[in-house]
Amino acid sequence: MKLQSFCIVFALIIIPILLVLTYYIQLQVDTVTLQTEYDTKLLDATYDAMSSFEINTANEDLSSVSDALRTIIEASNNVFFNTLSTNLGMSNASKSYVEPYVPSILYALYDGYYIYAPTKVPEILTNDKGVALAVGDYQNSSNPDEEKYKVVFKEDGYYKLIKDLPTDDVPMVYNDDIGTDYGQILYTAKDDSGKTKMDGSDILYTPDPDKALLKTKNVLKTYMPYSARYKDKENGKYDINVTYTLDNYITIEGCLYPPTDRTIYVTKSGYLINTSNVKIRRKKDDDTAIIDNYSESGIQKYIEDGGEIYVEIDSLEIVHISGLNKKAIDDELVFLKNQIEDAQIIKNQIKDAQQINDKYSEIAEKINLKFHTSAESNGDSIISVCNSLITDRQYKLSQISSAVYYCKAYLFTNWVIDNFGRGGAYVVHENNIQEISGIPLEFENNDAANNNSIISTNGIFDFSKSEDVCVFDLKGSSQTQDRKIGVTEIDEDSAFYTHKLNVIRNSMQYNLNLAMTAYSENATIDYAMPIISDSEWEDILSNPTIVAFMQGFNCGLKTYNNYVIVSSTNNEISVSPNNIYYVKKDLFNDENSEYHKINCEHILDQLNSNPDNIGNMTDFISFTSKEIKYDKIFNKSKSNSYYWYDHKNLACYYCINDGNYDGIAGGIFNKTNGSDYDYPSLVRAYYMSLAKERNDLYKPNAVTNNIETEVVYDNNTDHADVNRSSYKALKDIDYIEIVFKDIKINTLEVATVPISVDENIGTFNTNSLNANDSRNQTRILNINSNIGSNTKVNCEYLKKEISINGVEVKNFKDNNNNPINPIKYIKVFYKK
Amino acid sequence: MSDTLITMIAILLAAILMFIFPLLSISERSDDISQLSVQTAVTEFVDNSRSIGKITMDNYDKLLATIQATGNSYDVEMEVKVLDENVGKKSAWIQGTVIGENVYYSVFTTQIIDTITKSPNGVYVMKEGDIFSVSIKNTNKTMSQTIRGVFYSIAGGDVYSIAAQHSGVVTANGSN
Repeated sequence: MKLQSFCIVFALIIIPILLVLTYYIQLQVDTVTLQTEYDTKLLDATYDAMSSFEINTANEDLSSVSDALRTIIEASNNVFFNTLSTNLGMSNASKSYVEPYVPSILYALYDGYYIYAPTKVPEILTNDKGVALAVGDYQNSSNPDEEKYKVVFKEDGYYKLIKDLPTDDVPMVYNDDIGTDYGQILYTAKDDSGKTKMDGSDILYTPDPDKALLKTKNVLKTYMPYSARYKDKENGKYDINVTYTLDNYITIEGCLYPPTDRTIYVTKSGYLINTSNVKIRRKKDDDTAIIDNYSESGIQKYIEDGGEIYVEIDSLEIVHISGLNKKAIDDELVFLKNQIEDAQIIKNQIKDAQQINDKYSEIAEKINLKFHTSAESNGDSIISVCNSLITDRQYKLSQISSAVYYCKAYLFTNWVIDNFGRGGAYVVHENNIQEISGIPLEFENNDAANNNSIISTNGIFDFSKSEDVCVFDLKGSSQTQDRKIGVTEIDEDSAFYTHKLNVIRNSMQYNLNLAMTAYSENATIDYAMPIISDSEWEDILSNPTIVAFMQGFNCGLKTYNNYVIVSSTNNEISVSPNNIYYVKKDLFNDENSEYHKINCEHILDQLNSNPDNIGNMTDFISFTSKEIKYDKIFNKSKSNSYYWYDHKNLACYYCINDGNYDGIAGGIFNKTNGSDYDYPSLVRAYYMSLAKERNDLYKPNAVTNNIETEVVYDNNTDHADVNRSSYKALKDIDYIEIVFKDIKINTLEVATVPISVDENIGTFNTNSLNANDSRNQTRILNINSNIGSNTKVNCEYLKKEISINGVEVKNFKDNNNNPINPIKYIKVFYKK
Repeated sequence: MSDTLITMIAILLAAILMFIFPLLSISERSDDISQLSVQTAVTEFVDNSRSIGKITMDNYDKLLATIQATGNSYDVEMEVKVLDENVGKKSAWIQGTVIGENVYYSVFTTQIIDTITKSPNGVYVMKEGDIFSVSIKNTNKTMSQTIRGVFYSIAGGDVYSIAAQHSGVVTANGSN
């Protein structure tokens, strides 16, 4: 063969190979490009969803209440699908087309999470206008535009919808069968093969959800809190449910059984802090034990009513206030704000300086000016005086808030540690966990020799050593001196912190898996939850986050499958110490000065001149980044209170805009000489601000009143023993709820009779009872907070101490002069 | 004589057809694959950085390792457009010398790398609203460029055959 022939043969062989290779590689390139495009579209859609969530929480009043929150999440979800479908080149109304490609979306919030996923739901019978129809509904009229229908009973519990009614049809008469179901919503019924149940050509409906035909629909599932249930298996001393949050706030609800025949109900929420370095007194030299006598709501009331309180952290005075009444200050702020607005209006009307002077008295009178001096005789001065007063009042409010935070957290933490901590009466070990957000855990006794149960259902918890792991061990191995977050925060390597993260992660993982399995049943391909890496979990568990999963799009040589995580740092539902900004009190809202992060070197310029010692400390006002970003004007946790930040300070170019700065050498907690802080003002500002922001945060699932109760006497149940005493003594009781019944003193011609108790014991909230009333009458007996009595309360004791109409209850007689016990029920509320 | 000439031309053509073109084609495919892997790596790097609000040394090293595995050398250009938070939101500005009206200022590769290496945790912090973009180009001559150069050359030194870029808005405030 000639060389030319070789060439042709070679070319004939090589060219097709090259063509195929080129085509294949081009396909690969297209696949990856497409995948990258989808990734970006998914990220953009999720980012938009998060932005809508942030903006809606910032601007909607009461957005943190769970119902409003749900609406906001639904809105955010719509934004997600709008953006995604627009990015994919479809109309933004293509939600239903895109939905099948989204297995689920996780909204991890402050104290729980939502999952948006396909779920099987029954199909509800509706009329033309989409209004749900119920058993017994009937509509007939001569108007040809109006729909005519009636729901009629067939048999075996099924219903039919008859649409073509003659005009002379009369409303149906309900037979007995319909009568029992009357008013119930109807669902499309299913037959034995799982399809729509028909009667000829008519569809049958049923009020019984079990017989309903289920269809898959994407819904926002119910809110799942980050909670776990713990039960004492060995001694049966407690059965409690703990709800965790992204930070150190927890809620404990459940029953304690000090001896097994007693039940104390507890419902408490609070912040856990490291109390070892926190000292709280009423006065600087007061006895710390006095604070321990207060309940959490008691101490809050004491502080907000103007009581004196002294909070010291790590030997540094953080707050020392007295005589600051919160309500009075709130009112004053509203008044001052109104004055500024009035002054602005007048100032705009009067241009000439001379005129201002002439009209000064008029202005002063008009705006009800109480503090003017001759130096302030122009419009600007009035405004600046008002502004400086507002700043001052706002600082006082921060002081109150932070004092309340530390006092409540101190009392709550001590209560938790004393009861559930190591050495406590109801110590909670990790392996006492029963359920995590409704998921029952199964244990296997793999280690029978050591009596250790090892969990079999998932790989997150290792219970082999959890006999030793106490859930409420707050201390880790961190060296508090070197910490950036302050000594009151819980160590990140503590048992509590690790356990909390495990609980949250486990619950999310389980429910996401469940949602995706349900999705997979209807998907064309098998779909399983992708494995989320540890570092990604860390992102999810540190801030409110949206995780969106997407799969199934044709993506060249393969099918698209990925997820994105978007965290939020500017929202209404959580506080992060990194996102709090500070400005010196005197420079607040001054357009020539800057606000900073706490450890910015340039914040040192704002400290009072030398030396920055305890006696010459600088006051700082703080606010969170969201107030800048969303231009906040309204504080929803205090309905009548504005955010007073007018956004006039400039952002520091080193710490706020850039974020990459060296920071103060050694950090703000540095102690060069070993005992005193180098920058006490900054340390104080940090502790105060964190406390204020946390205390003012609206918590949707929090318990408003922390209570610990016990039913001592109930004459309708087996607690009808008059000698059965309360578990704790009078000194530990906050108040007692007493129900009286059968108060019949109709020999008297009065409507009410007085009820009284020894002043040393306490006072009733209402000092009288209806004189002639056989119904239950509930009265609250507030126990004197200074009582030191070790007496335990029982029915006999109260019968002796309480007098009705001047007569001791033990001698109480009815109309027929028969002795009766008018006390029917006693419930005691313990302080802690 | 003419036979010899034609044979030589045929051999030359054959050599080009048999060796140079396949080589060129294969090396161009190789560039395509490099391009693909570089584009994927840069997108992942940018998207990851902007969703967590920081550029980390780990991620940057991973990016470099991925792109260098293609056997070429690259120039990685990063740019962070920093959002100036000092926006004139209120009408009550008294002075006329207020700086900042929702503008961006840029920080570039060397400054970013410098910050990362000096930072104790190896991070460059960004905040919500900043814009992060990365552009990568090859700096060496790839084989396809060399072969193409035999036949024709493109003027200018700044010629590259592998280029990838990606950018996006940062979605969270980063922390150290």
